[in-house]
Amino acid sequence: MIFNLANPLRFQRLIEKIEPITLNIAIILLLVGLFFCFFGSPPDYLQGETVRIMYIHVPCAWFSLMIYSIIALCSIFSIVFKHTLADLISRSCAPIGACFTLATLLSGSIWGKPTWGTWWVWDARLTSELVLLVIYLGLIIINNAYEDKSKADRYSSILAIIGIINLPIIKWSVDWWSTLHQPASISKFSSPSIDPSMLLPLFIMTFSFFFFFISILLVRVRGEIIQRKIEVIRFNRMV
Amino acid sequence: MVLEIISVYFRRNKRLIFHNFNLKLAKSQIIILIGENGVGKSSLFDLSVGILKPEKGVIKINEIPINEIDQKKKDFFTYLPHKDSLKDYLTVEENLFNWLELIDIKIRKEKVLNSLKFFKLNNLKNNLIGNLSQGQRKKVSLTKLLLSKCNLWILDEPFNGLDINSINKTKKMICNHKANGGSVLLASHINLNIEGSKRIFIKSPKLKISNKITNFDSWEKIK
Amino acid sequence: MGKNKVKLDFFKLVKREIRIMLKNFSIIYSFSTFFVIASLIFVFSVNDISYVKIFYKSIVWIVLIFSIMLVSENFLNDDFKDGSLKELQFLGFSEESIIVSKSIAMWVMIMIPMLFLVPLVFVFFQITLHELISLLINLFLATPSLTLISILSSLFSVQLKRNKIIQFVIILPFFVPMIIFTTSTGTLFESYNLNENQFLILIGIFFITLPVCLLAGKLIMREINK
Repeated sequence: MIFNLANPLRFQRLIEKIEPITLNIAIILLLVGLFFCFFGSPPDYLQGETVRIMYIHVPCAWFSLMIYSIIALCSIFSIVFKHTLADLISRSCAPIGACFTLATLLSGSIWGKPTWGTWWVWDARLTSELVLLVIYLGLIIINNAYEDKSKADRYSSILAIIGIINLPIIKWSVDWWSTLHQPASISKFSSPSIDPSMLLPLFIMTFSFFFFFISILLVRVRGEIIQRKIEVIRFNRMV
Repeated sequence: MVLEIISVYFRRNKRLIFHNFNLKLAKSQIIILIGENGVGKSSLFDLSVGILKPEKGVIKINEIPINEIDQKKKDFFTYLPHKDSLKDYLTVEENLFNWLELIDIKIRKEKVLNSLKFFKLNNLKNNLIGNLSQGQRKKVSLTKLLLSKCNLWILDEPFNGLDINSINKTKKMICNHKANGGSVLLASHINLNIEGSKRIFIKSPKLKISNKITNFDSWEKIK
Repeated sequence: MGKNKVKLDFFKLVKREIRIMLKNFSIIYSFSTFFVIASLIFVFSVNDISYVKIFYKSIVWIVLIFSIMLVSENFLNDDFKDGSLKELQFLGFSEESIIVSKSIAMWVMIMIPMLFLVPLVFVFFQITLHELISLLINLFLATPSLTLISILSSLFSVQLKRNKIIQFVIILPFFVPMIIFTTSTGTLFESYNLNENQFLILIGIFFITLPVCLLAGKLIMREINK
């Protein structure tokens, strides 16, 4: 089934069907979520209105990690099976992931100014997130450095696999070291230390971001597929 | 068969350069591959020594598939690739001894010096490789053949940059090797002939077959 | 028998690399000189020696990282250009043993001489003997992983025809943890309180770096001839 879908041409047809749906869902959820963020949820008793930055910051941070794991999985897949679609996905994920990471860092530093009193602290979580951004940039650069795209894909997947080391460091940095950044409030195994009225907009925003990510990803993958097609056609005509 | 290439498919830069390629090299046989630049002669050599992997097909040396030989590859063939792997800042002699140590052959110094005489390199033995001319470099790497004990020689463009005299010497050397039961596979972009050799002209395969649009999907590649 | 053979091959490679390095003495010489001069330039640019005393570790580390990367790029590029990397591969040496032997040769021939130069530099930096010794142990433990990472980085860029600077961009983030753990002087990352465990952490980093570099290096080496 997966291998059936894994044919880029078939995948492209699938994308054309799915992509408008996901984009619409993303927009609707974003509007609903924004309403809840600004009007449907109470201000924090300590932080006041600034807590609303969380609704952007936390989903972005989650996705910056998730997208990297997607890239890493695709890279492993592409090295083991030499599969084009995995290369396409990891190639198109890298800039999106970089954007999410940048959004995390920016919103975090805007949040940090009123709560910690500074735009930036060198604490473990912030540092490792910054390293993640640099790794993303490295992936983007290496994707564009080689004239031969398949070679670029190989190298960037190797780099992505090395970069996996950074993921657990980001995730558990708040537990391993005593940092200024607060530890995770939402965990799967224990009841969240956050009020349900705040949890609702957070989840709506997360889902909205998820669908947004999917639709952007699909557009980019389709672009990549078309680009490769053009290359093949040009190549055929040349010879 | 010393070297067998059985229905190999190989693709470089999306271009299918070998489409069902077959080659058999028997004992005491010389095969010259002749083809234009970029037709894939060097790739074929890299394939047959196992650096590159074909998409499909088998390559055997002495009846053993190439990817099952490990560690002992050096006893099976002597391969002189286009890049001669001579270090610029080492002398001729040091380069040769380094190479001999890599392939586990212990030879007395006099013998090495003797073999240098074959191409009249003996008075250059203490020169740095970086100071030699292109032709002299080539001669140094061809000297390796005199020292090797392998049956199979794989030579990539051995006559490049050599003068007529040395070309004849090299040809003689190759013929000698053949007479002693060795086999030689060599490539050339010019149409040259060696006595008793078999010449194979390589052409790039018909591109219509090789580059269908669906082929850009590696999953649909010939499996 | 088979295992023994692998071992012999490995030592042969190391010996060969060291012999080649010895002939190419200019690379060692230029590395050491670069290291000394670049550290001194920091001193000249700071003016006030008391600042240098505080930041001595950081200065040494930054200079070290850049000089190692420059050297290793040179080192592998030569091998790639003249085809000896390929030769080692088709003669049947495993990719791991090639990488490890190259790193060992580089470590023995370049890093160890560098350690002898460090005291000389620190006459100018005016630090205490105790600090010097701790720095030397620090460098001694960290340079193996630095060498491995820089070899990996130059493997990444060996096929690039232009824009070699990319190797610095893509691999520098991986130096970050090491820099943090080695140079943490108790000011920037005071909450970690690492000073006692620093050396252990460096050894730990080495044991993480080694398998990762071997795996990635092997994957790259397989791509390199395509």
